[in-house]
Amino acid sequence: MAKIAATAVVDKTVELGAGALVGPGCVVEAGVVIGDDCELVANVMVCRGTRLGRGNRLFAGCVLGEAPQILGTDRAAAGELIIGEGNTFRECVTISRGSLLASGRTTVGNNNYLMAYSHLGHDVVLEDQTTLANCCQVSGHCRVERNVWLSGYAGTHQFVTIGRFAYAAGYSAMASDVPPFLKVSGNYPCIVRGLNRTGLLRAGFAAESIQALERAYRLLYRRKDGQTLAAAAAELARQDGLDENVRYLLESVQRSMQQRQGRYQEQFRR
Amino acid sequence: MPRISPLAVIDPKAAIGRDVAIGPFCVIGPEVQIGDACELANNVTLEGRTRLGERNVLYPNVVVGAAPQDLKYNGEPTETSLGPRNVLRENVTVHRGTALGRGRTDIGSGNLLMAGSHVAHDCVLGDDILLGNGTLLAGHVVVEDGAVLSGLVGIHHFVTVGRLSYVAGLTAVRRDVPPYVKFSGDPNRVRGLNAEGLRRRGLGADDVAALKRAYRLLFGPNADHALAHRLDELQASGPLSEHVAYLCAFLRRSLAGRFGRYLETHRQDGREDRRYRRPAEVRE
Repeated sequence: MAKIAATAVVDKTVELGAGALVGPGCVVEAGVVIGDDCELVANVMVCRGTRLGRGNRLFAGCVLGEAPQILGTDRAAAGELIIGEGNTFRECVTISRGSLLASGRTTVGNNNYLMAYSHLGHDVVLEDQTTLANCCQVSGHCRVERNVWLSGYAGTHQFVTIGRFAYAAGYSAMASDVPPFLKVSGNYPCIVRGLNRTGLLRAGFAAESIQALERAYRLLYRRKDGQTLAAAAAELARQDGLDENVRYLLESVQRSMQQRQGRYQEQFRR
Repeated sequence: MPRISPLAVIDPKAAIGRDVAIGPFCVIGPEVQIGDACELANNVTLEGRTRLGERNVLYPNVVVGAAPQDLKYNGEPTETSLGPRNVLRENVTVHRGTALGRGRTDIGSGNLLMAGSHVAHDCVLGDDILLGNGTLLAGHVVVEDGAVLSGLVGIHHFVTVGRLSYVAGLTAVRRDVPPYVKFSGDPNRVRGLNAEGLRRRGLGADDVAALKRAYRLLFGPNADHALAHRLDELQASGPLSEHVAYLCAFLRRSLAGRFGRYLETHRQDGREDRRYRRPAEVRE
């Protein structure tokens, strides 16, 4: 049985799942779908175009699904925000819905933890099991793959892809794609600092795979004088029997290199 | 749906213009004036002596006119104003002025303040400015027309951000940002003419060319004299275009300031004002 606080303002067209809780002062706009067992603690706003799967927790002050922050786009603009299951949105998290100027949809997967004041821009795709620390800002059109960890105040340029199991240190200014399995930090420039060994160990990666990734990291990012990343990648590609994670790393790096600013997704800019 | 929600808490002494929309759970204080056709989403708080021009759009959780976060503040009835047609996104905060500053915080027209950005006491913003997500302006900052500050930028107090400049994301700005240029890094550096920004704002080709020449002279790779010397050379080289003249005047002012901040030399607070004390709200 869904429970709605007396002071919540929930449009009559809102679909509330079984066991959903909407706390005091919440505002839920027309057509929103809230899945089973979701909890909106207090003073949460969920805007039209938003769909939440089961078991999400939204802490006080969240605003999910507001209009994209695009000059010339007004508050009534159409667009969607589709959120999966089991995510935690801490205080004052903001997520913009998609823009019809682009894909039209912002997507959040499952089991993500977004800390206070973090933000996802319009048309972002956040996969599963990521962690965004306080005040992270993910710009529009970015893709954050699964199990990424972004530290406090990390920020991205638009159209950046952050590869799976990557780690970004606090205040990282990510202006180009971040390769999977690696650590980056700095501003400016934000550069690769090594393998995200901690993340891989915590995720239970096999020792052989971690070793293979370490060798691949060294080949790609601890290059001999004068060797370009492209040449190092080509060298890695020529090796036989690549570990599947190394292959994923190689393909990600090659994809990013195709674009002038190292942002693979820029080619989809309309 | 009523334009003014019955769930909003609006002081009867507040002056609300025509055709204003106020969402549920807004809190509007007695000395607030809201201009015609403003739109306040839910949970917007307007306090103090605050005036909004017409057609401002305030998204959820905005707070305008709150007390300054300044230990020098003593509860004085300072003011906050927004001109017409600004957009303040979620969680934006704008604080009123201090008596030892300008006594007021002013924001012009047509500005976009993105989610989580902050404008502190005594700031002055002109028109058509962009503040990216999470960008924080400390007290007494002046941002001139058309400046674009990217996300997570922090501006030190008493900095002036010149017109049509661009500051890259995650930059901690500690000195004045010259007009028309790109600016970033630690240490802060000018990174070229903001050609893209000037193009987007419709500056003429001749003006851009004049600025490019001036830029090369002032900041270019072969510039090996102090900036003051290069300014002398530029200004002696003949009549300057309006924008180049503006750039030169701005740079001279910043040079004459302290720490590269022109406004530091115009501070009104003295050493005694700056001694430590507890915030006004909890002071004895």
